[in-house]
Amino acid sequence: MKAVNFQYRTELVFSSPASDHKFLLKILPQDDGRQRIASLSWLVEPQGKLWRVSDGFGNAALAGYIDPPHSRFRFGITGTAEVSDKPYVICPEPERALLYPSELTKPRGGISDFYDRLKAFAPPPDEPLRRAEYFSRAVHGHMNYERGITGSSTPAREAFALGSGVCQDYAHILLALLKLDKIPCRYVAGLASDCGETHAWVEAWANGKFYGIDPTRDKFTDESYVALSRGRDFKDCSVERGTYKGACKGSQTITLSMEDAEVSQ
Amino acid sequence: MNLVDNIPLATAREINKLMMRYGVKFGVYKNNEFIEQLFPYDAIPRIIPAEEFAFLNKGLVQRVNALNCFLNDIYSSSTPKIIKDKVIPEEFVYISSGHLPECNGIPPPKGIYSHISGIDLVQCKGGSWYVLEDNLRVPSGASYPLIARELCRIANPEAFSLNDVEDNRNYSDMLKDVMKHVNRGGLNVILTPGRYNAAYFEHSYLAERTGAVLVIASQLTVDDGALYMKDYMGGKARVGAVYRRISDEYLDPMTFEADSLIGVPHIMDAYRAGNVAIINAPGNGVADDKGIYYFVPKMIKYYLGEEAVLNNAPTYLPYYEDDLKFTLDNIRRLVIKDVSEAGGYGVVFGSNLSEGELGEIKALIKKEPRRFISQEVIDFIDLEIMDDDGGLIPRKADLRAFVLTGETTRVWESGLTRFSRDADSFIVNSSQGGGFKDTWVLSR
Repeated sequence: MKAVNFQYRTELVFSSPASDHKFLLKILPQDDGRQRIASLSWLVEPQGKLWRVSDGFGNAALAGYIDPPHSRFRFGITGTAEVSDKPYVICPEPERALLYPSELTKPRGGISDFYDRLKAFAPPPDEPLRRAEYFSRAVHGHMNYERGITGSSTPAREAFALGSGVCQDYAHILLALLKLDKIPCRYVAGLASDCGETHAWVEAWANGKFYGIDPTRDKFTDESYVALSRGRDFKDCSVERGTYKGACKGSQTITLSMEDAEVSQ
Repeated sequence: MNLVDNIPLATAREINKLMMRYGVKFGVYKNNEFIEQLFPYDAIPRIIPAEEFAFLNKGLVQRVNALNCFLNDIYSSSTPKIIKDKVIPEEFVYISSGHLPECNGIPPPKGIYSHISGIDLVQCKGGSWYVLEDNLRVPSGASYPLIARELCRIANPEAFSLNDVEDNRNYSDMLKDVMKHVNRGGLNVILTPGRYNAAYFEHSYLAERTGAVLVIASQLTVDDGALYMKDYMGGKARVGAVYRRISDEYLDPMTFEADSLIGVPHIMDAYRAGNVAIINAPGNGVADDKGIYYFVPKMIKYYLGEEAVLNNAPTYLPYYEDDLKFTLDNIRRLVIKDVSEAGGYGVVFGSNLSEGELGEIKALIKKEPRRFISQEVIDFIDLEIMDDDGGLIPRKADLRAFVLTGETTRVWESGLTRFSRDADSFIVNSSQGGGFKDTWVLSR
């Protein structure tokens, strides 16, 4: 068990003032057996109306709106999480739906051929965890980490063909492979140290547990990972969604700091 | 009894003229242009004897009740009973584009998912009826026989004193009852995408008839988990039920398509919080999927413990090895349907295909068996329609029955009879140029 202090902020600057701005922020981490949220506060500026909501995947979120014109929008969270050194969440029976791909994680393009090639050298089928780890390593080997090549709605097949992308693309491709391999799995959005912004990884189910696997860094998740939300893919977990009038998005600045804290007794 | 004699050509023309004046139109997009055209109306009604309708009634109520049970089962549990008991293979549920996990764990008000169900039936030449498809998302069309009846009563009042026809003008009361039954406190509204929608006439007509407020998305707003209608003075009135005429993917940009401009941000939160009823419930597409259709008689047996009264058209699922082989061997006499398409699109008759096209579709079915169903072509009956000179010509026709679920499940004693405009066509969809008739259910 380790305690982590985290502070995450995003600032959006609009090129011209936005009004009638409605938003949904999936930034509220919850206790899940692997992490315990010891303290949490959030910030949304300028001040508008806020309320707490949940979604169909069990995530918590902040819904709200800001009516008057504003050219900056800031939001974020600050808190402390106690994180287990075990990389898993206990779940005796995963949802069957997690075996089937979503639009963004369909094994199209070269992904199913890639899977067929990998399968021949994979650990035996009765060791799903080792298989998941093996597929994660393969994704890590195939991909080149590069920003600005893919976007938030890039499907797995496109990122795979490009061979480049960011953490969400790595996660999407790994999900596609795991689903081909009949391993229940889900997308996780969250915070991880040394990342500088929000991160994405995968949870693969084996023997009654969902194991956190990070294909971008080719490792199991550790005590420095704090989960914010889970879902089928990026779409279910996007940190911010919004609609507004009269503006286009200008720039976006994200800051994240995570540091070890004293374990509270 | 010859009812046709009661409808002279002059009456037919009169009614069509009135329809034009009342704006009974149907919009279609052709080459990216929005064209509003009259929905061609034929003045000779389809007649269903009382006894026959009683039979249909029984089968339709049963079918819709079972479909509602199915939706409850799918969205209230991560391991639905019907899947656990292996009545429906799980992939048919979870690969369906209509299955929306965003709706997991939301009990809709009073447990009703499909409030307004449009069930498409055909009667074959031997007299028996078959269900062709269920429409549980946003089925349209009830307004057309409704206004046709009204205009017919103006143009030809004797027709209704001479014949014992069930009055169909209670549709608006039935709809109002449904809205009242599920309303969570506040106004009833009908949410339309606007006047460029194919069925805008219907939206405005039903609003007028039920006393619900016709709104577009920008008139609605969600605050602290409740839905409100904004007025022009800046006031807000609570909304308790939304009869939405936009599809799930555009309903809420915070949950579904993020780019939707016709949706209401956060409406799903208000719905999840139990503060508003959405008619029909989001996520219903999983139950009217063409692949799931095959399993509806099994659902009836499973949830209600009854034998299905109404038959499906004989259907094969290439997903099953035997059905795949059968489909490929008999493709010339079958109709192939792409389960991801609607509105008469993605329907191919094997008999109309060239050798090359047959090869293509076969390869496609082999590659993606889950995507297709195949069906025997049902030789369904022709109904007489009147041509421009008052002569009678036969055309293929189906029936969309409207089944409303509120306190109880009731079938509207009328329905939309659609006919194909071309002599050799079996496709009756209005988006494909078909016309419609009123449907008379006899009261004895």
